[in-house]
Amino acid sequence: MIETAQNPAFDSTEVGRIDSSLRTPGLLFTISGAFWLFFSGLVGLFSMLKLVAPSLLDWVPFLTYGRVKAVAVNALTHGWATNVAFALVLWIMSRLSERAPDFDIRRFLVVPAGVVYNILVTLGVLGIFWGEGRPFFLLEMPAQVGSGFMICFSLILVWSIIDYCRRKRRSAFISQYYCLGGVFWLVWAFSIAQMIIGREPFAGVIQVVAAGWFSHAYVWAWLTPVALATAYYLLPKLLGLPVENYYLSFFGFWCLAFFALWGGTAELIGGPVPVWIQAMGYVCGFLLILPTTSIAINLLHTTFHPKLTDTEEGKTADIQIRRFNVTWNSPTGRFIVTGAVIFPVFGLLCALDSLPHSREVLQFTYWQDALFLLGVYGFYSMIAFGGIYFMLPRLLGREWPSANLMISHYKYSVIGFITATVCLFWAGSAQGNAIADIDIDNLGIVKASWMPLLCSLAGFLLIFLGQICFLINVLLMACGCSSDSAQTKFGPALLNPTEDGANV
Amino acid sequence: MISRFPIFFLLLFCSAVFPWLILIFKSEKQLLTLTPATLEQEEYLYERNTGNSFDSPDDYAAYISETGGDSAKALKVADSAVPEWETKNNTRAKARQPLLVLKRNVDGEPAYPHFKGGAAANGKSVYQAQGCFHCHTQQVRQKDFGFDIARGWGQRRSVARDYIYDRPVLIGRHRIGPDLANIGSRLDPNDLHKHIYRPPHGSNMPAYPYLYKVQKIRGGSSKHAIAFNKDEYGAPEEGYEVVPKPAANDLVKYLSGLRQDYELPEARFYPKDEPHHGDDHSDDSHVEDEGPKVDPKILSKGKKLYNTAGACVTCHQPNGQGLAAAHFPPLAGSEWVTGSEEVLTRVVLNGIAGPIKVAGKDYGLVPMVPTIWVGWSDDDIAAVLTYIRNEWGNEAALVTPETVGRIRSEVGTRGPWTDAELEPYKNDS
Repeated sequence: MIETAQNPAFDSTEVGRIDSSLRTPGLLFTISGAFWLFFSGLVGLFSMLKLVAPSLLDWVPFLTYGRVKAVAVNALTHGWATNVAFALVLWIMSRLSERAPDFDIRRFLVVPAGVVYNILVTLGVLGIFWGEGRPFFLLEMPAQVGSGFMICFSLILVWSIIDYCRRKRRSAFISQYYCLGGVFWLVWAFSIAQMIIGREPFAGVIQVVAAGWFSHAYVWAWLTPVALATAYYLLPKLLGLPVENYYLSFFGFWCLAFFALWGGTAELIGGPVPVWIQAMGYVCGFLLILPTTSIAINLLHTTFHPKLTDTEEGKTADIQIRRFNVTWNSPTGRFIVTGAVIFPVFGLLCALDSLPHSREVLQFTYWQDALFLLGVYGFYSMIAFGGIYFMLPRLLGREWPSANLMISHYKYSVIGFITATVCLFWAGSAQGNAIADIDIDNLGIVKASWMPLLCSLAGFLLIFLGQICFLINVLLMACGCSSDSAQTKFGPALLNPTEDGANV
Repeated sequence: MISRFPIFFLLLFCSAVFPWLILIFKSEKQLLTLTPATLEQEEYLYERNTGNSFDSPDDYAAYISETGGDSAKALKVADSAVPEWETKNNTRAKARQPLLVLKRNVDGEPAYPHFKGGAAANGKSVYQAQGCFHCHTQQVRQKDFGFDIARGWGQRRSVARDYIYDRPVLIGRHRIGPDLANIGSRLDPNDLHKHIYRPPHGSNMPAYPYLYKVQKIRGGSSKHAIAFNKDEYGAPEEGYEVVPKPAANDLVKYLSGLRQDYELPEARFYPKDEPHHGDDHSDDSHVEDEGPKVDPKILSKGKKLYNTAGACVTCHQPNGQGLAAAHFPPLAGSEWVTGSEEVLTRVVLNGIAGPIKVAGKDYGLVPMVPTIWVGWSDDDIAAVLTYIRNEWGNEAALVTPETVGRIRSEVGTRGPWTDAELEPYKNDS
């Protein structure tokens, strides 16, 4: 299907055979993901614009704020995040099973699942535009679409289990744990939510309990494990070092397994649901600091302060600096290190945000939007970008077409999401404090958050520019364009190629 | 590492228990007492199927043609209005509107919340389709958590029961705009229309002009047009009027019905201007305003008996208003109830037939015959009578078991009374 550059290593090694067998599904998920990312950036920018200029295009029914907001969020999560997570899960699971398939049964599972999934996302987005959306966060797509999702998710799960079972080593890598756990939790959380809020929803507030539970599980038990699997797989690879503490990584996994699924009902604090559900939500939400800190310590220690001994390579400090430079100069390393640094910030803010004291003021404000953006864009997407920058050249056997687009992508994304997130945090606290002051009327509340929202527009614009760069790069890559300068060797794409570049 | 793998699945399975735990919800007591739809629903049948309150099908057709629709089709719709419980095979309707309604929640408590069908249900899907829930919540948090009560968004906290009919539940998770749990009590329909057509200046709510039609006034202005003050913000230019399309009408019907202005045993109104301490459930000390001079034990016993399935509540309703459409007279404010105990006791013991007049209004044939209370003791009957004489604003002396016993032995078994037969007893004290 895709013409690849001739590379002797490509078919002669086991790794090369694994990569080439995943070319079609990997490319399918990545390109659709990049497209949905672009789309969500466009619609999201428009929805933010609607907040500061509400009369914009208000005679067009499908461009009303309530619909574009839902479309932007769903295109970002179900469109971009899940698509790309599938690509990464498939690839990491295959790589770590260390066995190229004799008979490629996976194509029959994965490629149809991917095609159907993207058709369903399209239908779901059209459904929301049409006015058939459901009122639950991350479950806005019509119920029929959700049932279809279930089939696709299950196929991916079956594939992951097959790949796990046919692994070469008896022991398993931490990344395999995260991938398999993530897919499992996704299938499960989604099926429960779909059962409760399906075409014939259960009576009463159990619907919102299920919805809150699902939206939290989606971020913490699906996107987070995939991002962590990617980081745990690629960071040591780039650094040429093992993970700092093998057992701490498993401790982090089990903590996440315990608490990630349970914290979702914290968003119902004070709401019309039994108090034990709220209490469970904020206790487990707060206890997310356990997996957050253990995982973050492990990842960041590996990156910034690895255990090294003086060897013939030179002094410890020199090796460390040299290795870190290599990492930082590769797009993969740069994105993943950024995501790994954002992760503890996101996790700790989430844990603090679960507490009733902060919920009392910030519960219904832009603060929650900011946290979501920080998690899905700052943490997950950053690592996913890194993963794609590493994966795609290996699947296709050629180098990225443009290093400049990568640099722009990184700069725009990082500056953009930091601006947008900080402004939304500002907007959220301004709004929350205005609501808390009962002398301020409804228009006063709107006025309080107007300025920060206007500032956050700049951030969303930058994010969108970064997404355009990414889309162009991915499309050029898929079309076979490849820059001559970067095509020096079959290795990682480097922003500033150095002699150390051939370490992977 | 392989030895850990079984634990992996074990833990996955354990976390699977959680979703099932929350299903305990489904078996809560108030969800179990479901009874089929009654006449009460049929009463607003017409209104439900037309989406607005109209005097006649012609009136409805005129409105439809005014807003650009097909009047012949509209007449057909108005004529073919059927109760929704006959649309059982329509899964879509079934999913959106429950076929069963809650008659009574907890013994002795009124049957709140009311099931909202028809125009309000249509309006709810309009609300959902526009994505209103992205900016508005519909939940009032308790007084000592958040500022909802202080901002005047409700008189009490919202509880799970308020949402029992909502499919889907629209409690929302963002407050870019104010909470709407009680918007029906705060704004009247005309203000709601104005707000949706053109939100106030400075608000970041989008306008919904596509739900309205601006048209030239021909002859008289339409009676459905939004009433604007002169030179008001959003008012159309001279000679034009803004008429809501059916979707806007439904939406406003739905919003007008959003009011949690009833008390529930688990959520009483907060006392006005008093600091609130502790959680809501400690607030059971709420005392009815009426009837302090009667022993509260008798009143609560009477209330329980009144609300027994098949007894008084069946026809006279929990609020004592009766059902005018079915010729069930009200008990609240009725001179029959607060008047002579001789008459009241006789009516309850033997029933009453024939045309009567209650609170100045004629009631045709009242088919009241004693049913399950035939077997009740004198104590029970006296308690019920005392209760209805001291509830819903009624005030009258209590009825003693002795009186009931005396009258029971006097009248024996006989058919229902008529107005004329009861005349001699009316002036007995």
